[in-house]
Amino acid sequence: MTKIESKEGFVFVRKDHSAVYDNIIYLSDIDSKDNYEEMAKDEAESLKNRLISYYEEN
Amino acid sequence: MAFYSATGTKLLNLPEQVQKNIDDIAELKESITSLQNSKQDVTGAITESNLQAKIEDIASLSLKEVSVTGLTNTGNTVNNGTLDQEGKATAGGDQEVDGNLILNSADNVVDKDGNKLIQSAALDDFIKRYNAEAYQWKFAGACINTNEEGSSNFNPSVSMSDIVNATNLDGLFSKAEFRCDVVFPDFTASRVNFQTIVEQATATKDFTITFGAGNIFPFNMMLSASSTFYAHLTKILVADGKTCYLTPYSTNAFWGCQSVTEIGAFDMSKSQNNAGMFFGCSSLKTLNCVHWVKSFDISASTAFEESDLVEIISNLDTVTTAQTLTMGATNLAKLTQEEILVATGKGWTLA
Repeated sequence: MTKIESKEGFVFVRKDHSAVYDNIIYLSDIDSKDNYEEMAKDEAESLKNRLISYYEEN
Repeated sequence: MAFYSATGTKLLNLPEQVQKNIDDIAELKESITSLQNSKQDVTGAITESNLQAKIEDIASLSLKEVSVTGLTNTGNTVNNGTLDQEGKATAGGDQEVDGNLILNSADNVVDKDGNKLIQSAALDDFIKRYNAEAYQWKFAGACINTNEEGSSNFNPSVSMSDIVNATNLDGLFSKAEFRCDVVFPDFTASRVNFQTIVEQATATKDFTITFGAGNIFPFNMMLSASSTFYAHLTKILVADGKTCYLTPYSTNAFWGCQSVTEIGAFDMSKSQNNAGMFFGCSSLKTLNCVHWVKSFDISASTAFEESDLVEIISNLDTVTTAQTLTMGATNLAKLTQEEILVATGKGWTLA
């Protein structure tokens, strides 16, 4: 298990921008931190809303 | 000259042409009756006033046709959607009745020669009861209410037992008003479409929905209901001892169910995408789904206690490609390192 924590004011998102997370992630051994990137909270919130709309429409 | 009807009833003194018509009727009827294929009796007494109508009735008959009063096969009559011989025809498979094949499809009710039967009111009703596609919108606009109060628009003929063989329940409760708990029967189909079953539905009392056994396709299942529906739906359960699969994906299944505190033990082993499954489920506290194999997100709720989260983790299957249980930082903080290790040890990332 690997714990990763984002910088202040940032959260993690999946690299393909398919999901938005909080600032802490516990990675399993078959996962990699390379699958995630940090994003500013405001931007991440916007991405989350877009994802919600996308899923709602699809 | 003697005047008798086709059934032997002595008639009034009728003109010669009328008697000839009666004789023609009798001959036609005898001919039809002797045939083994589908047939339709023309019933009722022949009188001078309805003679022309009777002639037209019989003239319009041809083999394998169905009249407005029902479909008959030797010894079996379809009337008001039921066969008089129990179990002769049911949905879920094609049925052969005296050589005539009834295909389980709204568009294909054919005889043994492949000829389409002419649809009629009776046949339509038959199809509605036994053909799965026709269950769409079955309860649309109904008042889902088990007691007398405000039941003026409740249709007592509506029965959950009618839908056990359904494959498509899209819009099942569209615009319905919920006032009591709903209990689904066990479903027989390999997949039952539950898409937008509660579109524009309302509710005036708290209620729960309980599923039986089956394979439910819950895409957008709870989407687009009214705010009162979401305010009063408190639990979505699976009956004890039943296995209810959500399959093949559960996108948006419980979207918007803001008052739901408990979701039952759905089997998630066949669900390949759970995106948006719990969006808006801000009151969710007990999630008993089992055999999770694909990522899901419960971060919309912070009502979980540590034991609730531990239970969820215990229901994760071990995976070989990384999956993510997204619960948010607030929920993550409720777990111990050991409890988190249980999840990551099964290949699950906790976020």
